[in-house]
Amino acid sequence: MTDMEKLLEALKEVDEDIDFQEETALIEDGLIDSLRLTEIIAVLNDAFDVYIASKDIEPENFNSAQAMLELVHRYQE
Amino acid sequence: MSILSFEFLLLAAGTLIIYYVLPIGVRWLALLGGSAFFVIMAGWQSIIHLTGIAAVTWLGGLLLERLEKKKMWLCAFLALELGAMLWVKYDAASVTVLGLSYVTFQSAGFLIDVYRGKVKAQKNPLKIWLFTGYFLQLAQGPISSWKELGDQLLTGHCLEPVSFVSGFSLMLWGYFKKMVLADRLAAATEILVGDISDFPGWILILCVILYIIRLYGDFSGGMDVVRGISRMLGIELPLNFLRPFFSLSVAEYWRRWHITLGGWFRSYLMYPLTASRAGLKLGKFASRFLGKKTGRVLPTALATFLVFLLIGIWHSFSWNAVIYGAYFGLLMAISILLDPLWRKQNRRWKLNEKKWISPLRMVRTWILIIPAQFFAFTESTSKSLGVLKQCFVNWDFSNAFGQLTGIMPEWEWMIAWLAFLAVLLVDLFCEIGFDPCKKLAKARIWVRWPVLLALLLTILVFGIYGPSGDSSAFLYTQF
Repeated sequence: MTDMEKLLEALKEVDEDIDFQEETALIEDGLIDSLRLTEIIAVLNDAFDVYIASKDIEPENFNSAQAMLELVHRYQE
Repeated sequence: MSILSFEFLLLAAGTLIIYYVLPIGVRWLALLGGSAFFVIMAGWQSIIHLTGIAAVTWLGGLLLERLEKKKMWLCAFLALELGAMLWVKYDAASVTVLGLSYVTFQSAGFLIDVYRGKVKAQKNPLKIWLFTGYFLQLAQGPISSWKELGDQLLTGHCLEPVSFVSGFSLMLWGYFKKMVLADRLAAATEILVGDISDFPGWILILCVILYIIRLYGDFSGGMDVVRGISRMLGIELPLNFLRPFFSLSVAEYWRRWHITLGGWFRSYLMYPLTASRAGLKLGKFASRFLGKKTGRVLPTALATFLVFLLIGIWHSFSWNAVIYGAYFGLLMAISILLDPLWRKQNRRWKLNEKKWISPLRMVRTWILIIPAQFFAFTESTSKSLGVLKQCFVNWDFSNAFGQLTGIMPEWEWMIAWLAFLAVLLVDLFCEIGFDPCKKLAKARIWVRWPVLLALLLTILVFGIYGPSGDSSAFLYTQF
């Protein structure tokens, strides 16, 4: 399973109605609010064992699955 | 100096003229001069406080970029700034300073952003002083981050006719909301703090609802004035109100009401708590008992409760403020914990696709919001409970008209309702994507100016003026 598949699988737990694969403005379009954002941080911790610091909780890091994956990879380096 | 006073209008006009006369590179000096004048007029206590906070923010920023043990130093600087706020707010009752908590939150936010490596410290202390004390947002916010405001203040802007007129319209609209609507309702809402024994319950409930409308007109009107004048200077301040009357849930209401305060607490308190190792561990631990989904959001529910409790206490150090904060905190925490259940039901009954559900959700939101307001208009819990009790005991409609006109003459009620209807309509237009201020700025000249002139005349004729000719004070300048 690639990291992207693993991420999409994890995000499905947060909200199965959102098309995380296609959306690129999750925050700006209001698909994700602060509650969903904290859930995403928890599932990223579950799936990839990363602890996202508050300084990285910014719209640009969570607007798309791609951006989230890049963020995770920055932590894994 | 109230932003409703003649002196303020002169200061704003003077700042605008000097701003656009100066060479583009040094236009920020006009803002600095205007702000300095504004603070000096507020008295020595404000000058000392603001300059002290600016000094800590300036020096703190520079040191945070250079020193080791950054976390310890950040805590020390924050303790200084927040400590000063708490001391002035709760202990030194004789000290009154301008925009106490707005200045503090904005400066503390800047220091945390420097610590997080998001913004650079500023070498020039005057630039930090301007960011901390920009006169248009000093008295009651919005609370901006450096990213939102700093560069906008320092970069000179060219005169843009369209945004200039749009800003002018927004300013007029703000004065309308404050002077024609909010201050007119003051007479009706102030009966709540007087002797209420003669009033039937329905009048008291009406007055509590009018109190929310007054607060909205007062606070969001003030915001429109400062955002409007800022826009005339080419500066776009962050939104503090986004038509809260149309909220579908209490959570949405708090995303639309006093936005920058909620945003501040979210960035600097809620996320650090929920995303911390302890927060995530608590979530995992709770998942074992509450199920995966509910357990995972438990830390968020707890942090949200804490944030609302603090927002309550921020309003005043009283039991009423605690009740107000705890009420919303509890409501939000419960809705977060029940969120998985709600979503399941919504999906099952396809509720989100049904058109009739939105108005019902708006009504539900207001039914939940109104009870909290009984604890908002006064600091005395016994007074609040007295009004609440009276709401249930006496429902006499026999002399309804006489009762209402006893509070305020008939024609004042008429103007108040018409003004409220106008505010509601404009908000509704904005809600469907038609911003009257921006449209007006682009409208033909023979549409634009008659409309603005009519608005100006309405404010002059129907606005409420205080004893000294100034309008009455803003409710949210006391924080």
